[in-house]
Amino acid sequence: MAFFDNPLALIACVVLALAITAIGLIFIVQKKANNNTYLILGATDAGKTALFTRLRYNKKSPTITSMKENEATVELVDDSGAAITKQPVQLVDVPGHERLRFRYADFMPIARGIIFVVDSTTIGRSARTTAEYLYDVLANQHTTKSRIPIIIACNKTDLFTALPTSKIQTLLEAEINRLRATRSAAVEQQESSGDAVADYLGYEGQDFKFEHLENDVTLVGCSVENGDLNSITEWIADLS
Amino acid sequence: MLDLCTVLTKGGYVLWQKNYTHINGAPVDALIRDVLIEERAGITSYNKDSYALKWTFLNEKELVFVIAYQSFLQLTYVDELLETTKRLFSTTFSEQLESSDVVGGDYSSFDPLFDRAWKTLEEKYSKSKQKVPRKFEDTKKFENTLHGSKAKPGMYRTVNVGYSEGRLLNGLLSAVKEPSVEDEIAKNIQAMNLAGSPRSGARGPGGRRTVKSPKGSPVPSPNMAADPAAGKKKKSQKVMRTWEGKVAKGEMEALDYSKKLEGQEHEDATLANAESLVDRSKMGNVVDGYYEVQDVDYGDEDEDDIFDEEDGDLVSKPTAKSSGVFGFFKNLTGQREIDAATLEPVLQKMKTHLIDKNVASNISQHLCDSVQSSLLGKKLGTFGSVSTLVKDNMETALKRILTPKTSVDILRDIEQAKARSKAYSITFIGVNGVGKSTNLSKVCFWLLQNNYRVLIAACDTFRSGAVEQLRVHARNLKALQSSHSVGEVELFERGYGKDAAGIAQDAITYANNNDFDVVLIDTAGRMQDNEPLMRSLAKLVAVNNPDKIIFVGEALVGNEAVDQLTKFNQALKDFSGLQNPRHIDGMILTKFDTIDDKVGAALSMTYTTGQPIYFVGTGQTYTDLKNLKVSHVVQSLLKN
Repeated sequence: MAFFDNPLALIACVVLALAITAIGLIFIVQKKANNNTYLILGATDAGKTALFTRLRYNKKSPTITSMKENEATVELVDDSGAAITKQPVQLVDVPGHERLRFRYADFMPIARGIIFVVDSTTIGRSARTTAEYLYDVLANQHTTKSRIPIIIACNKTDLFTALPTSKIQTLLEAEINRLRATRSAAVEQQESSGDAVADYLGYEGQDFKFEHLENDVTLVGCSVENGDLNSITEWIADLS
Repeated sequence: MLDLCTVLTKGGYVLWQKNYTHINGAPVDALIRDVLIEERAGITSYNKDSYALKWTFLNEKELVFVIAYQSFLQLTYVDELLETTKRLFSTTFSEQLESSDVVGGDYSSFDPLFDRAWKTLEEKYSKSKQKVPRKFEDTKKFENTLHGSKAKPGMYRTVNVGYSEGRLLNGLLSAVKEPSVEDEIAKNIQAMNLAGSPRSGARGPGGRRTVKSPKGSPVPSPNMAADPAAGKKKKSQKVMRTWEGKVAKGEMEALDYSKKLEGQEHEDATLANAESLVDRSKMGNVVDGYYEVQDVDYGDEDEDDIFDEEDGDLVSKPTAKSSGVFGFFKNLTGQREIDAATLEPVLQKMKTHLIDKNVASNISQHLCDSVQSSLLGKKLGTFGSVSTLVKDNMETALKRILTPKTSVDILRDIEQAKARSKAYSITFIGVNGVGKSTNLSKVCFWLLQNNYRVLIAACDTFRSGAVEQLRVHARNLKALQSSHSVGEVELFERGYGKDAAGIAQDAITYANNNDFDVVLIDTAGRMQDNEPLMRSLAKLVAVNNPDKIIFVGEALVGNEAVDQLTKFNQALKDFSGLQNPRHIDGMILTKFDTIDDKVGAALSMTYTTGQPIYFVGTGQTYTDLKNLKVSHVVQSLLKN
């Protein structure tokens, strides 16, 4: 115990402990500050995992319905091979199956941006289900509060049956417009304390438009099959 | 014979795949969607179209191995092939799988390895089945010939040649080694048969080519020779006949307990025996001269987490025992692999806990099996405990099951029907007294609030007072609606004793003609076992084809929930006579306010049907209709 009898040693110990705590805190704060996580969301079979593989490995890989989310830190490069973001970005691919997609909410607090993948060939038939998912994402309290920008990537433009981006926009807007009415009229949740209730999307008394939202919503066409992803990578580069 | 074999990651990548024929549709996708995601991984095989699929997990690396084959084939080796493939794959690509970059690897070199493993197993299994006439060299006769006795041992051991070349992997090796052990056994049997009965022509195990005694000459077995003689000797001894009704002297002594009982020690023994029937710790206590039975022990109530208590014991006991001090340190520092023995007690506890929460018992068993299959082989970190891992996994599993996979937005559906200018019809079905009419009127109130024109069809033509009950509701709702000036409600009634299907049909036609938006069809309650009533319900559904069939069930129900739902579904399917029979589209859970946190029925019902719970009924007034909050239910289920 002779060691601790020395007041100098004791003080040194305390200072050291404080310093370590401070460094730890700074580290944590910094990590939270420059969050560069991008979520890849969308319905099943839209091409989320394929997009993820393209960005991560720059290769085409056969995929199947995901059961778990994929995460990776990715260095995005342009055609010449130069990095387009200051630091590598974190990509999270969340399964699109209805029973698994609830996991996306866990990532919302750290999301810098959301890539919402849509299958342009089947959107005509699946507009309602896709819009329901998109509505949930748009109405999420983190989206509205931190104004998370969203890019709607209309995938599979290489296929003959793909709808043009403008048409997809009108389809989704019309669907969300209807959903807005029915969702606000739905029966309230049990045990709800009132905080989870989503705000009304857009302006009341007007048909819903993506421009009405406080966060940026962009629509682009892309094709994972052909590696035509420049619109998405540029969007990420602009954000980070 | 196989159609497809594939290795997937849980993230959705196909690491390696081999098609042997053209695959129709996407059976593997269907497997994932229908079985793996639905937490039904407790079952062992799945049939889709003409395919049968089997699978296994490598949880440590988050891989899934799937084999598909034509379901009419009875392939017995698929399970073993899956295990072999798993071992083979994980050893061959161990470095690749160990690295963080699992997907980036190249696995195409697995083709020949898999083919070889498959061939080996197929041969092994076909051999044991095929009945081929034996070659002369294999017969017993040959062994007695001059050539036979000269033949060298191991001459026919050609089967094993060819496997030694190339990479000899553990998995493959063990699969190959087995036949040679079997040969050894076969040889011994052959030798014994030869010695015992030289004439009877003992049949060696069919078609084995290597059944040759090493020296080529019959080896006399000492046992076989000695035993019959010994048996004879015993039998020849005479035993005194005991006559019926008479007791022999020896027996008399054995039956006389009176003397022995006097012995003090024996009494002690019986006392101890009786004592063992009473657990002192659980004895009640005597209060005021009355013996009070102890209360049922519910365990520590102040414990917040059910699995924290004695958790350390559960985890470390089995492993520590097996490997001593070293194992103890390994437990402390290293990563432990989770095996069935470690999981067993925790899962057992989880199961009883779920049953306590009123989950049907076989469903909690299925769930625990599913969780087990997703945890086996996983590595546990230094500070991880099995129970928290199980709990986390169970939480995700429960969330998955309770999260609806189809849209529960009825208003949106009504809008869609309105656009086609058709009335949207909802049928309420269920057993007696669960609250069909009551909740129908609650739904009606909600629809009125949203300014719809609603027609209530009174199709309960059986129970006295049913129509009057609805009439009262309709009157109340009308009064409410006129004061708020929203929507419109009308009752469609045709009295008692008539055919319910006909009334419902009339009601829908009436609604379409009079511009109603929604028709709510109230049916008579019925027991799921009552066939005539179930037939009439199936008829009602088949004739009217309602847009939604909603099953109304009590939240109080336990094991019965599964039975009710499966039988109702089965009846709708069996008795409809339609090509594409309908099934239950969703549920309303009533009396939810009475059950506190025993919300197991919600889980049982969604798991059984795979359909969502649209509403829960939480009270007596028209406004006591709520949406089920998944997180709340999951919390209640896992809470102590």
